[in-house]
Amino acid sequence: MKISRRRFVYLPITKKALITVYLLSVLITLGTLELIESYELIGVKWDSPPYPYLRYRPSNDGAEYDAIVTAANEWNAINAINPPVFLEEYDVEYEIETKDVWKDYVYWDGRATIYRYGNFIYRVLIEVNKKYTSTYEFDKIRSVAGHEFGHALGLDEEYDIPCLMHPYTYYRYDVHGICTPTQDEVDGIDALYGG
Amino acid sequence: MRNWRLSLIICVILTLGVLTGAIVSLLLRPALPEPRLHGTMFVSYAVHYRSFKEAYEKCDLAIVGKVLKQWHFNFIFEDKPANTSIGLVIPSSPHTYSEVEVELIIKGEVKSRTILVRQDGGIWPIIVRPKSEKFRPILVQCADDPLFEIGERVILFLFLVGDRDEVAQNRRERRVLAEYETEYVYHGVFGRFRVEEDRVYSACYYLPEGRTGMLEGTDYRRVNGIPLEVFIETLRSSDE
Repeated sequence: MKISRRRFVYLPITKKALITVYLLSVLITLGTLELIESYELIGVKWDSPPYPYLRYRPSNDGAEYDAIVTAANEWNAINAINPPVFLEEYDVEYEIETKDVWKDYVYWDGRATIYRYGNFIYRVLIEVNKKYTSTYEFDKIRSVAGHEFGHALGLDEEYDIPCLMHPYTYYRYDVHGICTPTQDEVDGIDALYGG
Repeated sequence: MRNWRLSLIICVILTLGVLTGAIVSLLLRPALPEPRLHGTMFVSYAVHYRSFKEAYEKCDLAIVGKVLKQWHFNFIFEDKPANTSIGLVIPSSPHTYSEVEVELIIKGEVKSRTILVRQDGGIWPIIVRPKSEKFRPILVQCADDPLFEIGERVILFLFLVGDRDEVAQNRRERRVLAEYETEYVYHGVFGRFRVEEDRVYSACYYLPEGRTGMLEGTDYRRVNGIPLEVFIETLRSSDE
């Protein structure tokens, strides 16, 4: 049963094929273990409880309120494994606060402040800056709100591909028209909550 | 017999491949953070620049300066729930004022030797009553724009805050603001450079790896230890 070394010496094609199979299996394993992906994670996620239900309190009005609720529902509708579910809640008990602010001199149209304890998110404040969003069309506000909800779930900025978690509103929406979670974000949610 | 051996070899190689992949994956996985409460701000950029010259051209004031003092405050949202109970966090957002000593004006003019620069982030939270260790005030910072360090030497592309958008909510904050005629802000990584030993570094070199993607495709990566005089000369050349 001893394998002859000579056979490999005289069968170079087989040898190359075996090396290819080896490298492919390494790559497939790395891919399966989510080292080869484009989404980025903050490094924390929601603990259970409150996950899978995350209560958010909208203190927004007008188009910003509609955008917040629509964005939350769009995240609820993604086809991910065990995704968190956003629930609109006006009682004092909630995990995510959403606010309209008017900040004239800042460079951001949306901001998520993530408070975390250890490896778990403890509370989130989402702010939508009406200084900018008051001039945006509805889908563009959705794009900002959806981006911030992505942070609230534990996703980080993603610079390499056009997706909802790209930090530039101009690139994300004006150039690519993205205002809902893409497959990249779904993969990120699977990685965070699916296992 | 030969086919059987070949299958065996392929199986062994596949197993080795999977094992190698798994080991590499484990080695490259980031270490878990220490369990403590902390906060980070992530922003969606409404404004961004393609080059540092573009950012410079848009700003009101460009200076070389040194951070001397800091004050942390919280903006408490007025529509906080009326029945907020003990131990619950009042919705609030921290900000910090830094007194910056102006060493050199590259563009614009200032009325005093020191100016006030406002940053997002600071000490948080404001709570009704601390219930446990978990609720001790903590430092909250922007992921892409950490708070200045006292003594830090910086180049800032600043914007004058004309009509202050928020009224200071407490006497201490009003007192700090009253000391300075003007208040400035800057556009995060696009308007902030660090100066070390008279050499200039953009955010590409003072932010942690993985947080500098917003500057990809710009010329900020070029600003890596450029002598201060050369950098100022480059900026001023765009005035002409």
